Amino acid sequence: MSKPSLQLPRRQFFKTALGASAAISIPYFVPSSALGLGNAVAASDRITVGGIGIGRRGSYDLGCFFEQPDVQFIAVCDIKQSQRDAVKGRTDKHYGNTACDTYRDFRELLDRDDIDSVLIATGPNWHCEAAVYAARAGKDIYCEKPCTKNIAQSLILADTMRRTGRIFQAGTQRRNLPHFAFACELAYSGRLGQLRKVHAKPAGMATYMSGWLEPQAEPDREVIDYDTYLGPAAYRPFNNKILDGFNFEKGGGLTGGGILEWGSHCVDLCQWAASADSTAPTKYSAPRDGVLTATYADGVELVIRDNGWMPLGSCPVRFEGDDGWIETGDSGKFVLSSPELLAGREIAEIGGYPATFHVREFLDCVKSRRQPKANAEAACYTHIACHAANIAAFLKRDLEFDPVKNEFLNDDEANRFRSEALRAPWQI
Amino acid sequence: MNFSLKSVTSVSGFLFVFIALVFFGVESNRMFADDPSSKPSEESLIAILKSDAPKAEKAITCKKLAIWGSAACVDEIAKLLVDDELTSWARISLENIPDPAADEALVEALSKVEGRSLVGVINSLGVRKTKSAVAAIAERLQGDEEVAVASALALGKIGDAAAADALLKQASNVSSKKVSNAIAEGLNRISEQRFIAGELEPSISIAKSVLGMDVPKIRKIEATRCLILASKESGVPALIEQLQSKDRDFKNIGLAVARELQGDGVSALLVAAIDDLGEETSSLLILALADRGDASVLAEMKKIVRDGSPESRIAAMEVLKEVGGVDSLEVLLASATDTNSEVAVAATATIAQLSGQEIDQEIVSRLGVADSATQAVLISLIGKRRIDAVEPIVASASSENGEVRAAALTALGQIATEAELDLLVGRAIGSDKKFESDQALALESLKYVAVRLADPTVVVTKLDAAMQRVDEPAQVKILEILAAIGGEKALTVIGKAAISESKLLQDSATQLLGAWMTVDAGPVLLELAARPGYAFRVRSLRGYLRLVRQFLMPDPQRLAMCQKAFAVAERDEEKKLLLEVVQRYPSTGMLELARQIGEKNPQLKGDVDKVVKIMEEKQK
Repeated sequence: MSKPSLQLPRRQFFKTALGASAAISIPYFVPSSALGLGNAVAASDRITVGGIGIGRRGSYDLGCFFEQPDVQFIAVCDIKQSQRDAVKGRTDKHYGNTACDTYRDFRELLDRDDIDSVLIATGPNWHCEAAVYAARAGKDIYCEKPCTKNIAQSLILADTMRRTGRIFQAGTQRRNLPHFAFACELAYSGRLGQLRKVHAKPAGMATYMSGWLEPQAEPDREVIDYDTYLGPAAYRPFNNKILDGFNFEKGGGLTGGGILEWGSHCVDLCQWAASADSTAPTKYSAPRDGVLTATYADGVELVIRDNGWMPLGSCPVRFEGDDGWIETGDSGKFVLSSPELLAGREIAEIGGYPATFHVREFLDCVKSRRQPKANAEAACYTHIACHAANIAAFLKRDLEFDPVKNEFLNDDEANRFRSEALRAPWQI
Repeated sequence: MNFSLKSVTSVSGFLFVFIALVFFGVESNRMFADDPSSKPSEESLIAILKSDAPKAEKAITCKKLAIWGSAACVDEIAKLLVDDELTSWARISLENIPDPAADEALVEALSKVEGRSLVGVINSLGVRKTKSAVAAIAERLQGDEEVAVASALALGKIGDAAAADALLKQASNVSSKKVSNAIAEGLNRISEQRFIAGELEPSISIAKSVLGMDVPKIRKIEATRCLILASKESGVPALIEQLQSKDRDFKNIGLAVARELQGDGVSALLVAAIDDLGEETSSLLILALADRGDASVLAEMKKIVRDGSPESRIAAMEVLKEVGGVDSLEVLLASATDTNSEVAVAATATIAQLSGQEIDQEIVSRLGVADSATQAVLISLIGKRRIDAVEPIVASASSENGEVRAAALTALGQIATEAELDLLVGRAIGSDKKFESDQALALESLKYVAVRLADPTVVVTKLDAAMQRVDEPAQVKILEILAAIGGEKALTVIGKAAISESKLLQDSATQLLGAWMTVDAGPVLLELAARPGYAFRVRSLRGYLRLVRQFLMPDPQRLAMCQKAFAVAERDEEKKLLLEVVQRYPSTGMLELARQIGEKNPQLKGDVDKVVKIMEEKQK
């Protein structure tokens, strides 16, 4: 056999809902009332949603879905009975009925023909697999980040969404916040001049992946379904400490976590700014003096660093061109090299990175079938960039990457980091 | 005592730690304490597998061999495939080792393992696309349902002729719906692989086979997509059929394929179908045409913008946004004054995004001959597109028509130069009754002009002078503009307002200073915080602490600012905020300051002790 084939077919595929020139999400041609933003929406026009793995982050997302009048959340699946019950309680209270169904096995939820879309907010261990299974069941998907654990998964995710004709929105909600969108627009539209550098701060995400700990008695499966919790991750005996879904198996045990945790946001914005939603940097340097630099084929540098940022909040990014620069962060504020760049634009200052607009865009796209900004291909290459950077950091050597063949050049070790076998019976 | 911030926050140090943890897990990380990226000897790893080491250690060893293993380790790893707890770890190695020995081991394991372990082995053969395993896997399409499902999906991944034949042969022979579904999915994968490879006939043939199967709708949707894509322009009728379907899922795949389908004249064929679709679907198809970015449909789209329903008009504007030029201006301008406000707004937004200097010229040339409603649109477009046409806009700013005047004032915010400042300031604070309603707009525009000018002090000087001539609410507006401009002179004016007699101005000024974006505001805020009897002392001190906490500055400067804050802080709440800063930026001086705070404020002993302890731990 030859090495595993990880090549993603290259052809015109995704185009974001508003094209490359639009920065802020606006309603489509569909009248606002039909989108459910105005009056009550008829039940037949609502998008039915099921939730998979609705814990802390998922509960926040669920609130964003509840805000939309054209959504009917009808079912929840979780491996923890306590979370199933909590989400059902909240949902039933929201709708004033007892209709929310609960499932321990997400495949039963996916088997329902009356569910249009799913919200996936499991731990990172399950994100990609749950999304692929949902797509194969014909559901549209809003999936929390990080969406994949390695390069192969990233490609499979995009490939599956295309093959099944699904709408996929990665939970990288900063793409739908005005200040980040404006910053990216300045970069990709050429208003900063020839783009030279895009900077990302992947800070504050030291990851702790549980290993094979001392075995403990497994809880009753109805209370905590440990086998499903492990899911695609390699086997290890039950230990209560590894039930922290957020940190468990973030990177498939090979790479991931680290740059990926916040890079799936800030590197994602850099990818957008660099017009790189369908590609990834081709060169990755090992970290030097606290900076990891990756370079795109057109020479633009992706600078991943923790230090030297303006006080503009978490997840900052900075884009530099020959004619100017912009820096912004989660405060909703931004700093420009010249106020001229603002060009009379009024950019709403929305701090705190809410996901409401992102969810709204997802729902609009479910109806219009246009691709959302954080579509599967964009998410795919953002994650590939993060995974490749992590691999360069781990191997402590410079790497070259072919984003068409999706393989490292002349580096067998690096290439072996691209994938990891899934525990049976799971496969994608 | 010597704290090093660099050691706390450096990226390289951080990466080293996280990778070690992520790669081998907390438990196993100890094995790589020296250097997690150093290549271990394969012999030593094989020795662990051969030994009676705990399973946990063997598991991690498999992960290492996934990166560094060769044919030499395959036999030892393969032995673990029969172990229910280690089989998944063994497959992590075997899937990644490029040597054909890994394929052979997996094929051999097909007859040695069962249940889930067998499913795993089959999955791995699928991932590796092991062609030599096709016959053995095909044998398992009958029998245990879970194994058969895995076999069908694996054959789909392998995807060669033999795999396709095996799946087609069983397509009508299986009774299990799950297996049948998996066979269809496997075939769909192969159909797509054929399409991508340019083997269109085989792709179509396989897709048709799936469409003839009794399988879930999603499988038929996938097959329909492949069938249409592989048929190229001949697939358009089938595509239209999907768009006309009453089933939303088939309609949706039609819309997806309408974006993907390549072939001669496809866009034109799709345009021709628009009238045969319902209102909603036709608009959705037009959006798909926008995503195709094909300029050949421009004429038809302009017709729709002119004559279509509101929904289809707005959708067609999306096409014009992508491929339209100066030829599109006429129809878009007509729409921009439409009585339907959604249409009008969309048309204006579309023109604003059209690219090309000839569009700018056309907009300006039409200004003199347009009716007043169109004039207002043209003026707003001059602003939005930042067209260098100040003169006619200045003239329009004195128009008798309120709509035109408002559009001109707004546009001036985006194109005015220093020469137009007096006009805007006069309109913002003037007493001419005729322009009374213009004040708010003029102030807003003034802000935009001010932040755009190369030398904003000119604006600051004018606004400072204007402060004396307007009432307090207008003064607050001016202060907000000054804050937006920033700089030393603006800071001075706002500082002056902060100590004026007016409570309203004090309130506004201290809020603006509290959100200042440079540390220059520090001395002003500190002075206010120390001002006896001043109503906004607390706010000022908190603003000062914000600067200390958030902004980049040399360590000695930060320490000095903290010491000054401590000197004026009276309430425990602010002292606790100060302690947060001290803890955030540990240094010998900061530690000393924390102790001083503790000594002089025994009621804060608990907070101080906690901060000191954290700082000392960081030092270790």
